[in-house]
Amino acid sequence: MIVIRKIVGVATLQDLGRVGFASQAIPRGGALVRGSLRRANVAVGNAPGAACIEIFGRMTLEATADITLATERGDRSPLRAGASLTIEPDASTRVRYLAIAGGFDAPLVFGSRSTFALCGIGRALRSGDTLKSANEHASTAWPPPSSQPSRTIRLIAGPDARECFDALATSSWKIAPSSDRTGTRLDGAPLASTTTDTLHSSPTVVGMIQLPAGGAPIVIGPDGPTTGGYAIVAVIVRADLDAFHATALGAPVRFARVDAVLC
Amino acid sequence: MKVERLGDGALRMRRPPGHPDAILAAARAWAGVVDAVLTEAWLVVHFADDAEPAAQTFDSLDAPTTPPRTHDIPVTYDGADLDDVATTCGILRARVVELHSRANYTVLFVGFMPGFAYLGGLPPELEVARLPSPRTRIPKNAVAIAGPYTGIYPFEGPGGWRLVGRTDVTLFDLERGALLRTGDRVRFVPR
Repeated sequence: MIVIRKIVGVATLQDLGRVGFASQAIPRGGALVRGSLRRANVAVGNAPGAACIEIFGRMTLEATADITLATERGDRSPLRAGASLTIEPDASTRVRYLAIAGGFDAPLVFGSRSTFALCGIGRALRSGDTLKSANEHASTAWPPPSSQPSRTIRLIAGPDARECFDALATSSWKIAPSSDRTGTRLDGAPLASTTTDTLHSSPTVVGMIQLPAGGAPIVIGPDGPTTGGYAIVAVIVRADLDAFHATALGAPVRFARVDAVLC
Repeated sequence: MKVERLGDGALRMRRPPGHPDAILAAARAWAGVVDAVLTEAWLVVHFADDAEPAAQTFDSLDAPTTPPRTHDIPVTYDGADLDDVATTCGILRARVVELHSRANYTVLFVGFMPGFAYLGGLPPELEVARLPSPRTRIPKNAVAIAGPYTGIYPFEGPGGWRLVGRTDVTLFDLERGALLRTGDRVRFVPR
């Protein structure tokens, strides 16, 4: 259905990931910005969690049949066999998504088509790869998810390094260029902590902010390790994870503390 | 039971006493739970995106009636750090092999990378620090030790543990998942 002609950066297949396997140290995986993936899918009549191509960078493809595509902007567009399309980087978002009507096909591994190359579940896409639609169309039309406007990212204090929470929440940070799906690194003045290594490893969650020695915070991403021994300074509120992960590399990120205990 | 929040989608508590299978099954039966994970010290319970995290009590965490799963793992003891470990521990290389292969191990938890089991039960004579600077590439199936643990790298990747040997057992399979699960018993058989 399509053939990849050129990739500058990294492109992989992702859906909403695999949940329920963390006790085997299999990360959740799935789209870095879940709302963007849903928006692309709904625009072509897919279920919101169908597999899309997640693109960090620029990708050119050629249709080998008449197909319908959409990106995270919700812009449905038919493409004739033989026609080409380039997904350009967008300065307003760190990552882009491309959906095909019917969803991209790949083997389901632990209930997901998401690439996790470390243990041999797929690999990054390359020039010359061919991909086809799984032809799984949604039985009902889904409302398009709203886009995430850029705003402050709310933080809940973590169990460790309490002395650093205020500084983390109020300092100026930028998304470090070395960030990837494993973790997002924050550039800024290092945090001075008295506890960087905890005695015992803890299970992690996506959006957990760890503080290694050196004081540069790392936010656990969907492909991050399921356990870790660094101090847990804070965790990003679920509803703000997409806005955080959509923040472009090098762009500033503003945090805000959530003091109210919600449970 | 003291329960801490890990953000607004997960709860963390001290690992309850009891069999890991029973703990995980009990936690996964709570309302809105999508996953539960153990480490040596902690239990973390993950909730669905639309669920409000709430802890419930554990009724019975007795061990399953089936005997523990036991794995005999053949090991070729030719690791790159074997001589260093012997020197650090002040014993002969052959004694390192003897101590490592005679112990009975239990999977304390699985973490770091898919299928990587942290095995408890390492003889105290073999406790050595991690490498000061991790290797960028440890071969798949390397058997290694660090601190109070031993383990096997299921995949090639970076790592700071000291390499004592290698196996040819498949530790992670895309259909069956991890070979070693929390609570399993492990013995190493030299060859």
